[in-house]
Amino acid sequence: MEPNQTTSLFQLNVDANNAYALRSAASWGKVLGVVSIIMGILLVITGILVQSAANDISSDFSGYRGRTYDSGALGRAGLIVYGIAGVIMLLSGVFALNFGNRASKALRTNDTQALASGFSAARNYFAVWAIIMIVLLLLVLIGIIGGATGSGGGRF
Amino acid sequence: MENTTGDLFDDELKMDATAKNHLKGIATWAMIVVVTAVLGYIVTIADTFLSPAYQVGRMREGFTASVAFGQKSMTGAIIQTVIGLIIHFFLYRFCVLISQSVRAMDQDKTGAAFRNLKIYFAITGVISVIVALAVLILLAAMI
Repeated sequence: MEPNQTTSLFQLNVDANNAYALRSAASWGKVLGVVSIIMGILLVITGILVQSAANDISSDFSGYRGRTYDSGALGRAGLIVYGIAGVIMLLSGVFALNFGNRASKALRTNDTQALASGFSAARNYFAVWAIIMIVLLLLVLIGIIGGATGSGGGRF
Repeated sequence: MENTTGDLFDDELKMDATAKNHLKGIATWAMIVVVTAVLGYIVTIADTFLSPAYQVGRMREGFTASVAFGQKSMTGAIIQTVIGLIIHFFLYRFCVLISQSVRAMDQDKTGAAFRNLKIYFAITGVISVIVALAVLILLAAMI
């Protein structure tokens, strides 16, 4: 009697070629993750330095009459902008690094759950960037519309 | 009857339903990234070419240089758009191929999709290194 064989032909597997491609993607994901985390930290440090520099300018010129702007407020705005950019880079870097680490581990140990976890991290990475890009696009559009409506009467 | 499970791919890593769902999620979010990025490039190019740079400030009392704000670099915008389109082309290819591979259980397309993802990560990684170096130089100049 012939044996009743069940094969996994109709299942998605990571064969040797796919494993090589996924391993390369995971390696570059790790590189991107590490660089993004470093850049996030650098951006936060830059924000703090910008704020302290603006505060110094503010205190240097505090005695002058006719000061029409507050450089301290400008420094705080700089800190917020650089801080937000830094946190975004950090967050996306952590997700990219998680993808790289978990996908590599999955390929090393044939761990299906680690693979799913790695893909989940990659999904979070793209979700973060998608949301940020939508927000940035909206801000750019608002800026352009504001510039177009405001510049009509404001030109010299 | 002898019932044996002759798995042809016993030594291969399998993608379960959760992994496939995550892959679909990646494809969806990555496609949103591609679409918003392309819209952003269109807006940037349109803004650069359609709205002229305007001068704020005028020459006054011996000042020979006027102050120009809002000037846009066309070359910069074009370079940024070209590089961005190249990067996002690979991400777009990844989205399309991974969606097709999950739908059709096609191993070749899965491999091709991961290769495109690798290229996307590689280019983004290299650009991130360059930007990080620029930020480092800025920091060194501030200190």
